[in-house]
Amino acid sequence: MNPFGTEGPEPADRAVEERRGTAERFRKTDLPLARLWTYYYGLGGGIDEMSLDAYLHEALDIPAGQVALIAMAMTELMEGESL
Amino acid sequence: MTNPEPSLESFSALPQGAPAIQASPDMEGRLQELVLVSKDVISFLTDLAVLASARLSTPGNRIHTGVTVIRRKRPEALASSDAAARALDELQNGFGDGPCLTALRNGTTLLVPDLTDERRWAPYVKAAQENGVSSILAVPMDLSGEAEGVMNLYSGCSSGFTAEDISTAEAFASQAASSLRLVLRIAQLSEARNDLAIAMQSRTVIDMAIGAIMAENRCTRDAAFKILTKASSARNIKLREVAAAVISSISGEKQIDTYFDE
Amino acid sequence: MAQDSSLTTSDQMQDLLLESPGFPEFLLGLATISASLLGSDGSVTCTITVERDGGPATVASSSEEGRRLDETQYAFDDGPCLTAARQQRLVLIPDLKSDHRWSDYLEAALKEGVRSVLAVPIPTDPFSHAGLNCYANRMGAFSEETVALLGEHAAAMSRVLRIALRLHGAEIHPDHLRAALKSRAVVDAAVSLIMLQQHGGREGALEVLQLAAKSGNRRMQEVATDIVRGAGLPGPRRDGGQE
Repeated sequence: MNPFGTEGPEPADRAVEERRGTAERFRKTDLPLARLWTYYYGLGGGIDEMSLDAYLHEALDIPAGQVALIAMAMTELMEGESL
Repeated sequence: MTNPEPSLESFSALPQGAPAIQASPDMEGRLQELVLVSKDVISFLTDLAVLASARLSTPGNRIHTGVTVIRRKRPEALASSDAAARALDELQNGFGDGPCLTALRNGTTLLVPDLTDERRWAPYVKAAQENGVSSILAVPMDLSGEAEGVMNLYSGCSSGFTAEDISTAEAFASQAASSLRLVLRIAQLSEARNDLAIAMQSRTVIDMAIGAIMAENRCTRDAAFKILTKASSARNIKLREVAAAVISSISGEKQIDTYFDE
Repeated sequence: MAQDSSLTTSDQMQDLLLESPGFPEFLLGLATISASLLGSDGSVTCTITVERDGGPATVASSSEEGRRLDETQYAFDDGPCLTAARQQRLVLIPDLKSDHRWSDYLEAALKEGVRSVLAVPIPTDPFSHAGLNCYANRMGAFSEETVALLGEHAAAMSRVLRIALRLHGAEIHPDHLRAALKSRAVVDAAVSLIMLQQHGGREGALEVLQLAAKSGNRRMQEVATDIVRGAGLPGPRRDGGQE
């Protein structure tokens, strides 16, 4: 946090923070990776399963749009809609 | 070499007399085909054809869409929006030449605005006109590395495709091809197992597949295993799934039968 | 005696986890270890079943007979081990001849010479089911002590199995893949149209779709379907693009 103003973290930090949050959320869901990837693919996701795995282990950066799709996939899967 | 039985023919990859061990490259191609013609892929391409037809048809201008793919160096009508599209694709594939096959071979979109003005592919054009086709749009698709396909759109009206239509068809085909490439890298080879729901134990399946490859190629166990593992790593498909596909094909399971010559 | 063997068993299972090339090999090892816990005279066969994410099960057996028996169970999609795994409760059949549950399956088991069965659930994660099935060729083979021992063993296996499930990731379920491909076909078409409309790329088009879904509180697939049918796209609409 910038002590001299009201600006938030740098975009890079935001992405890192978001990734950490997403990774933690994924751990909490206990979703099998393949299940998440498949649903995310159905939503139009573009990264492969290995990259998704790496991202969720906070070991890879991916485009923001893909992050949003992953989050949407997790949300819809946990809502219990069968697919 | 004796003539192999029809159901095993698919794995006898070489002309007779050639050393068995060089079967590997063609084996990989064969196994790649197995992925490509899985029910899921066909279903996806059918959806594409249906969506394209729906989107581009207007009252008075019904569009029929088919997707043809090259398999074993021959074109095959894999998916279609309706029976008419399938028939038109098969018609062209039967002639072995036509605008769609040319588009596929050249890798570029091809438009025939009016078949009456078309001098190329004369035998096919005549037959197509007899079937009511007036214009054709062919959009090639790069399906997955070695696999090539083409999305064929048929209209009964001359100048049946506007510039916007061409852009739409190209966009549909491009997105679909990209999606297929992504999933083919990842998805399992095997079809959905039905009621039995028994997953085969790795060892047994691989053993059976090795035995089959040994028998078919008259090679050693080591060589057979190399063929399997090479196909597995080249295609990023699990060894067990590659082996399962080999066995399915040999045992002549119904779905697989239709994809191989008897 | 029991305590010594469970220490050894725990070490064995850890080794198995580290050394197994694949998930089926790992399960096979677990089944073998379980059978040896129950005695080395070959009178008991152990099989382990794991159903992942509603998909087809992986089954491992310490003997050929066990494999056949479990295939039978799956043919009927019912049996003591499947019940134990799916309902996560213990199933004990001291004498197959006098039990009337799962009659088809028990008939087949009797033909194979099985006289008593014990099925113990193995807790895993919310998306999987697992169980240990023990077949014996005599009645009343499973005493109270044996049942208790196997209960402890199942708890130990549970820990190791959970790790194995994460290590050897679940495979893509055919039904899920099919549904995803269906959804993706429509999303792709909608994305194509948005790309053309906005003269932009796929990422941007996906964002538009997501935004529309969020703001309308609808699924992306629904929004995509509407767009393909000619509705919902801002700007000039293609006339008559209906099916």
